[in-house]
Amino acid sequence: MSSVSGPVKDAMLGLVPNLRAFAVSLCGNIERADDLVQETLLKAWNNIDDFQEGTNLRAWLFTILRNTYFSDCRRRRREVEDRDGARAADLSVHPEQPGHLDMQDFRKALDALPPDQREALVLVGAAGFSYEEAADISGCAVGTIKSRVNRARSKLTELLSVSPPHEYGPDAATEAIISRTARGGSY
Amino acid sequence: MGNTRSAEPLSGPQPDPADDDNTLTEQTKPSGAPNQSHLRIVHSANQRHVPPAAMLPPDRRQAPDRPPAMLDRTVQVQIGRLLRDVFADVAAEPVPERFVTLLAQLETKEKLR
Repeated sequence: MSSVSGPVKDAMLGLVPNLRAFAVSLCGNIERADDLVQETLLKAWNNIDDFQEGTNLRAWLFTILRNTYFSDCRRRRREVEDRDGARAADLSVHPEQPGHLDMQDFRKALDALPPDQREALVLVGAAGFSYEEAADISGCAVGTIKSRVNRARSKLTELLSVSPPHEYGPDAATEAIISRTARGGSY
Repeated sequence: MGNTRSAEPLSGPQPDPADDDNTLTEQTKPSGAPNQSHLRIVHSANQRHVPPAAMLPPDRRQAPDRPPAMLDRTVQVQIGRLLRDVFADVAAEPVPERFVTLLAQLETKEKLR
């Protein structure tokens, strides 16, 4: 083991930024994300014999991380219930500036997705894994990943709808944008 | 009508959405969008595309040749961009010291075995 520890250490260090990004997408805050990454690195190091050299270290680490997160969630049952789909149903992200959504709004919408859908969408749409790799990481079928990704995209589209809640109606600025857009004018 | 865009349904057999994203990123040429991380629903009016149904007055939203806003290609491309931007935002940060230290300690312990 000591003969490969140098390269393995370097490879893991190089993957930390990616692992942090994935961890943040899973749990929604950087402090908890970094704790997850810490736990992941320890587990990976202690179980390095389970890793087949030449296979995808990044995918292997992502797998450890997501397993750590979801078993952690099962212990923190109340936190999971706060973040699951039931909350997403009545959450719509109304942008502060009419017609304009930024990364913060998008993060909120992403956090409102059910965890398995968010995970699938991030693995495929952000972390750059194939459907097959994402299925391996998540421990499910490729078809399951595809349907989670589709549902996540549909839900995001719904949550990110620029139309404000119907009980308020569009504000004056949005009305102006709508009518100018309908006439084909530029904004 | 002049709507040349065809929206594929999200259900049933379909092209890989991840592939679609890449294809569309190449095809779609936003006119000088200043900040790609913003979901510029309004900005889509500057392109040749018809704006998402949600931006249209109620009477135009039901146009039969107009796919529902949920499937709008422009929105999907922008979601893809935002997804990657949000991920890259964290991935671009330098490695916190705690991890450098952790791995160095693990390596040292290993070498001392």
